[in-house]
Amino acid sequence: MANDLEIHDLHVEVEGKEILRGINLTVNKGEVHAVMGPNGSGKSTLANTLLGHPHYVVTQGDILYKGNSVLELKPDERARAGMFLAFQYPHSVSGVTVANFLRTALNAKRKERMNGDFKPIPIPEFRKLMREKMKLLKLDESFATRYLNEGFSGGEKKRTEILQMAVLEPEIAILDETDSGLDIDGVRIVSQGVNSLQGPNLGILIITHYQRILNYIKPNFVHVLVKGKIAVEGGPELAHKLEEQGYDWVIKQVTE
Amino acid sequence: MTETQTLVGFSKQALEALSHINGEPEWMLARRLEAWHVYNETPLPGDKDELWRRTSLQGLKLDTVVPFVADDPKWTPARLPEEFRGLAKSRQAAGALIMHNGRSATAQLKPEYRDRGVILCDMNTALREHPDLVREHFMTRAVSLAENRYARHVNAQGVTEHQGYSDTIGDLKFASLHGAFWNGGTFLYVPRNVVIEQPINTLTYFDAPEVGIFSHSLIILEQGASVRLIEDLESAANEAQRFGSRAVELILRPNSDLQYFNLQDWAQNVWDFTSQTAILERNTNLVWLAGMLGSAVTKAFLDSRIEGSGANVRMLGFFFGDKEQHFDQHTFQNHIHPNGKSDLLYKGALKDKAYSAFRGLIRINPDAQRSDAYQQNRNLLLSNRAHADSIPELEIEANDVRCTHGATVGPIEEAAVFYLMARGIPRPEAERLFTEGFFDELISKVPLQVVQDRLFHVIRQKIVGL
Ligand SMILES: Nc1ncnc2c1ncn2[C@@H]1O[C@H](COP(=O)(O)OP(=O)(O)O)[C@@H](O)[C@H]1O
Repeated sequence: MANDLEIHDLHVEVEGKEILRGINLTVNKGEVHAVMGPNGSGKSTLANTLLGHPHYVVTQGDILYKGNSVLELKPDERARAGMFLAFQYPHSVSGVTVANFLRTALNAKRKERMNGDFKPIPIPEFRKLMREKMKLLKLDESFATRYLNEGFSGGEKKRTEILQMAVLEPEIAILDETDSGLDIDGVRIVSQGVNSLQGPNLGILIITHYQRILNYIKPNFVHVLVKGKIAVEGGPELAHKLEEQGYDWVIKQVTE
Repeated sequence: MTETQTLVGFSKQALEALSHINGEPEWMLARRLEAWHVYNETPLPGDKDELWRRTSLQGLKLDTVVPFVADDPKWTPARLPEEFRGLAKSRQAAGALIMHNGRSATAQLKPEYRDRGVILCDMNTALREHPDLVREHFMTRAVSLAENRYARHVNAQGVTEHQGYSDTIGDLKFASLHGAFWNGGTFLYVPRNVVIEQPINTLTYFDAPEVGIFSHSLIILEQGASVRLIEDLESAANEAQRFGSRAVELILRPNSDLQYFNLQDWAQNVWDFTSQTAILERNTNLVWLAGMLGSAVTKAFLDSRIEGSGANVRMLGFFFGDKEQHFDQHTFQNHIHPNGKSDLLYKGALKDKAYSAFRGLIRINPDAQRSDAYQQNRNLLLSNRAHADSIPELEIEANDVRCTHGATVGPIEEAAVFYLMARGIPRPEAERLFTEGFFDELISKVPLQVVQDRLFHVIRQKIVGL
């Protein structure tokens, strides 16, 4: 059977500059992978490329989702297929409420699944779903009617990202620096939210500079990204080593 | 039915024929002739005119306009195209008025309001049945030809009294043509202290080819009166160009309260010229929405005149252009008396090769102390061939005032679109969502749900490109 997400020798350019230089990585449902790396190593580039951000150009290699290449798929098609990206810096959209946005997204997914006989999710059912998931993320109910990310604190934005993940139920979720800018309570709430979604139907790729969030969301595999390449791979113990010794030894290894 | 020969083009003869078939009193014919005189004395504005530089009249065909047609006694609202039939008949409405080609009209008003002296009818009927009210208010105070409101005023001593615009004929050319050939339109009179909760709807519909639109809305609220009026303007798409010069006059007597929604949705063969003026007396409240959805070309002059202390006006503008639509709008927040407040928000989206010009003037006259005046114009460009110009102008002649203005023109935010798409929303829907979000600030200020729904519906239609 095909892997759920398979990244093959991925090379990516941004504005003519090569950022990713041959990444290989496989994520299956039920697994938690962490991609760690120093600043500027290409972590966000990887995350954005996976969802098809038009800014990032794949020059070589492939991204396979359930055995099929997604390179020709637009971001919305990838998302409806089951991929999800929790953004490092979620954009605000003025005038669009969180509820309206999520209902539209959910219906877009249902439409594809239900094919011809699509029916939008009934409003009461949607409200119930929202209430449930917002409670999980300790978001006040008033957030449903607030404009998407407008005036949200850093922590509220990150929690709203995970709220979206909870509602949309992806199969492969990429979390880009979901812990950055959060205090300890924030990290805990967000992690609890993610953990409650864990299970055999979800594969997770956590992208992070610091080991901190990995105390809450336990990875099965750790990959260290340096200068656009995976330099070292291992189990959870690798994250601790990085926490204690920093990235210097990996960087040295790469430049040698 | 008397045989009326179809006249083409504007002439004194056509004007007299119109006045004749309407059975008008002498004084109205005299007013028409006066306006006709102004029209002939006023040159067609060209590109040297300060206020007309952004709208070329080169493609405009005035010679082929049919100024009016005879009544069509066989026509009934049942003949309206399906899509418009619902517009003027809401079960919750206090009254409804439907007009066809500027003439045939059906009016309905709940008996309880009729009994209290409310009048709802078309302007031709109003002239026959309520000549004194029409005579007092028709183009006398609001859309008046007595002066060029937009021009610079220099007094006999050579002192500039109002900056205005230096070289312009303002709206005089087309307002005077309207005065000469006005035909049909809404007449609404609400007597003292009569409060009407449910909205009144009107539908103006044109389908006879080349017949000009000369509708005149005259809305009069006596002291303490309160009403909400929704006017829908629709027309059938024809090959030939259709010309329109319509006017709106809103007269608010002290302590009255009006919500007025004017939704211009002409087919895209219409050249729409319009002068609209609200007179606000003491302690009045007006919410005024000007919706510009249709037409090939719209040239609009929209004025609020604060003529009493403590008046409060909210001017809302909604426009959405696609294909080659061209909107050119002038607003004028004219504070003549003190303690007034005017708050303007005009928002528009432009698709394809659509164009918008917005020019907003705020004038605080020397006596208008403690005035608040705000003005915002925001434009969303949905295509890189669309274009918008936004020009605010302030003339502050009093010292104790608060006044702000702002203008933005910008494209859809790609980062936002990517964010929405990354959640599975296809691009067209992501753009729709973003555009609805852009308009939300405006639509949330519209105090009537049916109008809000209508505007959201328009956004969807325009985005999908129907
Ligand atoms: N939009 C961009 N334009 C040019 N260079 C970029 C852009 N985005 C990222 N880069 C460059 O790509 C490299 C990797 O960046 P990024 O993927 O953000 O790394 P990380 O997330 O690991 O900090 C950096 O050298 C950065 O300067």
